Amino acid sequence: MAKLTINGKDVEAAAGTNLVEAAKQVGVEIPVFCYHPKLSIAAQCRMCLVEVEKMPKLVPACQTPVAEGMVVKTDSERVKTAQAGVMEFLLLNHPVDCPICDQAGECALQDYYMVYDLTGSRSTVGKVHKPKVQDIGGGVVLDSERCVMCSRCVRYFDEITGDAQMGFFNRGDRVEVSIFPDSPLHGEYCGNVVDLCPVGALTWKDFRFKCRVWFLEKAASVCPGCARGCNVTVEHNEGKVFRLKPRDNEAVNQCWMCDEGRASYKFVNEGRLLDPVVREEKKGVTTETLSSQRSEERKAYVKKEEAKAGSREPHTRKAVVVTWERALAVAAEQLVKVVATKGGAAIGVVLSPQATLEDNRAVVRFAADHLGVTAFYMGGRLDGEGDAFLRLADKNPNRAGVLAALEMGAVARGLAARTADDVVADVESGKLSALIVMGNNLPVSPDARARLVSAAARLDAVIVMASNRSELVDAATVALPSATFAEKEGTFVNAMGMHQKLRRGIALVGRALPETQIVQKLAAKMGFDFRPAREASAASPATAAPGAH
Amino acid sequence: MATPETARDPLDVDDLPMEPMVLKMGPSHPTMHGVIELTLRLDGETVRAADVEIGYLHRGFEKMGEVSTWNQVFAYADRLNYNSPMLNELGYAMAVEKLMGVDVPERAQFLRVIASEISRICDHLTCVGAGAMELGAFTAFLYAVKAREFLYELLEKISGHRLTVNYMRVGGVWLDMPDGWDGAVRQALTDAAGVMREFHKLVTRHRIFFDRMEGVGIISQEDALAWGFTGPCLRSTGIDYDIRKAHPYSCYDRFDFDIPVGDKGDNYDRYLIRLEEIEQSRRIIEQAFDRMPGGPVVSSDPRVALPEKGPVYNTIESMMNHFKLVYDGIRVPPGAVYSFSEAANGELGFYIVADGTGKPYRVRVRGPVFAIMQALPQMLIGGMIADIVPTFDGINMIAGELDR
Amino acid sequence: MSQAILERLKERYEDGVVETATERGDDCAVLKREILVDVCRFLKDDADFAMNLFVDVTAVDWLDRRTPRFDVVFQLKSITKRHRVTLKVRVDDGDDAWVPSVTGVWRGADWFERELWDMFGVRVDGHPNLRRILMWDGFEGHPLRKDYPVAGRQPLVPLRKSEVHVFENNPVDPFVVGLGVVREKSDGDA
Repeated sequence: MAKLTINGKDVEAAAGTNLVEAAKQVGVEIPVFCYHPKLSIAAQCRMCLVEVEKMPKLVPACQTPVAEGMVVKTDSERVKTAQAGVMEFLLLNHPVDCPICDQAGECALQDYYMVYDLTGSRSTVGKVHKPKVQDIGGGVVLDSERCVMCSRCVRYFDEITGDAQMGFFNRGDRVEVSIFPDSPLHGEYCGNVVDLCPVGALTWKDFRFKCRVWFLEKAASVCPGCARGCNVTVEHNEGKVFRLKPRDNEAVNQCWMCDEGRASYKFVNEGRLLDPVVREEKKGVTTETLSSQRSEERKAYVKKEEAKAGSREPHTRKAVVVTWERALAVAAEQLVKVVATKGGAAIGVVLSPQATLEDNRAVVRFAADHLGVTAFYMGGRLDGEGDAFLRLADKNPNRAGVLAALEMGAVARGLAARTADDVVADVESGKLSALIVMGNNLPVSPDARARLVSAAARLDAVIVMASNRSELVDAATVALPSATFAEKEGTFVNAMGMHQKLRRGIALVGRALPETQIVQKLAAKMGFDFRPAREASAASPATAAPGAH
Repeated sequence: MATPETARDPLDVDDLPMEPMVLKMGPSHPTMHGVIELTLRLDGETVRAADVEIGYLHRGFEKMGEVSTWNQVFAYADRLNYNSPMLNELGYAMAVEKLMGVDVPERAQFLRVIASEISRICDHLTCVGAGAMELGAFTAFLYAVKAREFLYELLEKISGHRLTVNYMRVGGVWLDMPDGWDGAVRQALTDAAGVMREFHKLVTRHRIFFDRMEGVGIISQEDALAWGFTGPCLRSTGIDYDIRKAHPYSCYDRFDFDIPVGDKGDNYDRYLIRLEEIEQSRRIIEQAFDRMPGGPVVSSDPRVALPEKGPVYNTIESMMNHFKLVYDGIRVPPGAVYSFSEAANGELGFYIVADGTGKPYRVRVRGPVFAIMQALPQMLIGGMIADIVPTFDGINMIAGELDR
Repeated sequence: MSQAILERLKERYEDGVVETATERGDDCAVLKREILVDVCRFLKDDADFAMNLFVDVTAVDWLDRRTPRFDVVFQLKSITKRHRVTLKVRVDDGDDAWVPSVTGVWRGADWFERELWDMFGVRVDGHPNLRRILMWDGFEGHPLRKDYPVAGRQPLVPLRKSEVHVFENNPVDPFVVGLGVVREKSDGDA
């Protein structure tokens, strides 16, 4: 450990710590462009120059390790002049792009200018022009004029992904960072380079011009893309999610995320099941939906449903959008009938590793304790590709959570989760007369899925709690809209067994409800006294991910 | 059989049941400027007890202050005492500048004072005009608002708005005065003074007006101080306290003006004080134009002021400066101050707390009328219903300032 | 000028004065709640200080940034001596959220203290009439607290059900307003 002084404050730091990190410990910010804790030291931008007593020249804080008795000043006149000078150089050829640049509001140049510079431009000549708006592949857009040549992106591809996809070309004030000729960015981790870029040179194509960052509200959550459970921030505005950005968590994802995960917010905004739908023989009670969101989408959906009811499909039941009261009443009625005539063993419950631990637990307890269900199945999504960095083949964030929920709820009965293929088999063989499904699809082949949908027509009850529409939802007797990860508070248990907390981002979309509440209401309708237990997320401290909150 | 001796005199009321009546005056009532609800317990026409219920115009200024940037709050500040928006803006601007330590250029100070005094005249005109109208002098009100119209046109020329001016900024004012404005102001003041001379002739010595205002709504010096009165209401009791003289701010110390002071603490004193203050404000404005310096109208401190448009569109430095000042707001270093000024009704105080971001952490407005309205029940009790009108008018309660 | 006030307070009340500071020209003393009324009376009655005008009391809610949560800020002024001072009392949330009333010293603290209660939920002990002032009586919560949302919603007045009067031989159109007949609404949605 070394004891030193920064701006008159005493600091004690481990040997090898650089001055930028040491200064953070006492709340002193040293501005940096090229320094990043996860990349090698370049000392290229010269923004972090500080004054150290007894050293004749200013030294870059990122490259200077702490030493015993060091006296560091980051606010002296020399340092301030240097900082303003570096900014002036960086801004000499910087395009006047703020109004059209996505980075505005989270841009290092803007933020540092207001604190460390605030001087005018002394240049009397025009700016050097370079190619702008280049789609370099991987979902990344490059604007060479905005680049400050910090080399973070070059070092990222050299060191983190190891495929050296970017480099510097030309020299002097014509230098550009770019991809190699005819070699657009590839790989599953290109999005991180957009997070790394301190300015608007590298921007994310999917987010381009969608929303200004100061409108975005942030919620700390967990990526629903795979079982790694990378910590993310759900950034949203007015009920729509605009992007997911990685949060720091040394134990899980450090500060990175995969591109697949970045795209995994889209289902929250599109293709949602907004209202409870009931398919029944009778004329049915219809009431106007109360949801006021996305009315065109909903009207089109309702129209399609009602048109289909007139088709020659085997299950010509009229699909009707109803109130929650009505939908729950129908579902309760159907379940009661099945339990009375064929018993709880004839009901199959498909749990979802896309839903939280608490939701799964509620369903398990309701089904096992009150309905007498013994057949539980694992739902979710089909496996995909994994790799050695972050992505796992299991594309469900909470498989371990489903297993834990089963354990917590039904261990005495020795119940386990059977596979989704078993669902298809059991429905076709007639072993099951009713299904309660969490989620809008099963992880089976498309062929098996089609067989399930047609076999389901003969069941007495198919109750689906789904957030998005699908053929399975269309085949349900009662479809209940459920909330996605962005609308819930809850816990995902990742493949390493860590319990990580999700915080609610947007308000519930349409008339969706979290499964816990759906099950509570359904149980109440059926006359059960059901209260989901509170200790679902009380993981032992050892398994809770450090830094997760 | 009825005889003259047994006939009852219909005016003989001794055996009629008598009990106090509870009457609600307001909230939707022409006299309750803005919206105020008075609950009165009446014994015939006499007010025995009164309770004031406010809050009908509460719009959450202080809460909105916490989610707006420092410069965006000016638009809300206008709507506090909406008859004199410039005075509110001046008070708020001074508070932020005090906290940040920003110097406001001289010319901006002069423009601020001129605009503020014009606003003060507008407020006083509205008060005396509406007061006269509610006592029955409908025409007199039109005279007063005619005079006020001349001034509204001036405000419109300099800020673009008659009422919700949004003219001042942290560090100065938004725009310099247009060419010929000083001539227009002097002319308008002369015209307004002419109109007010006629008003004065019609109203001030009018028997009915005098009887209804004089000796009504009296408050003693001790009570006024105890209740927290400031402004014309305090001065009507004889206490010579005006913040422009006692704690000079902006450039008020450079001007010669007098403070009218009453002695009885009644409505008539308040009325006369306001008329006289209009004259004194005119004096200030004339002197300000005579001594107006040149120079910029907004501070050149880049932490605070938007850069010139030319550099904004052509250099990245000014573009970023402008961008961050507008979207993030001015970065005010953490701290808290209380700043006060003489608004039309008394001490307008702003207590602001900054936490280093571009938005205030807390903006507290101490409206002068809030303290004065507390005393209203006391001023009404013992008087008659008809006395409520002149008393209430004399206080110049503006709901925007009271409820915020 | 007002520095003298701070010095004198420190001298007279010792530990009761938690700290004093002069910031941007404002003199401020942070006091313990117990001595607040005493200090106010002293400042008002003392011939040198003569704080005869009560200007303002309000609070600042620091929520999670600091414990204790609230700063209750008093502004006092002397008309005759032309000086002023700021006093602060730090209180926490819950049972600790109260200050003693200074209406015994200046009547003009009345409505300001009511607003303190209304907006922040800081009770004022000894106030003659501690009711809400800007909000209505049934308002839930305290709006200027930092955890009260800007776009907060309040419970609506519940919809009343009226009885249906249907005349046996003369069924009435339920929307005939003149007879005041309103068809009873059926149970609402979940």
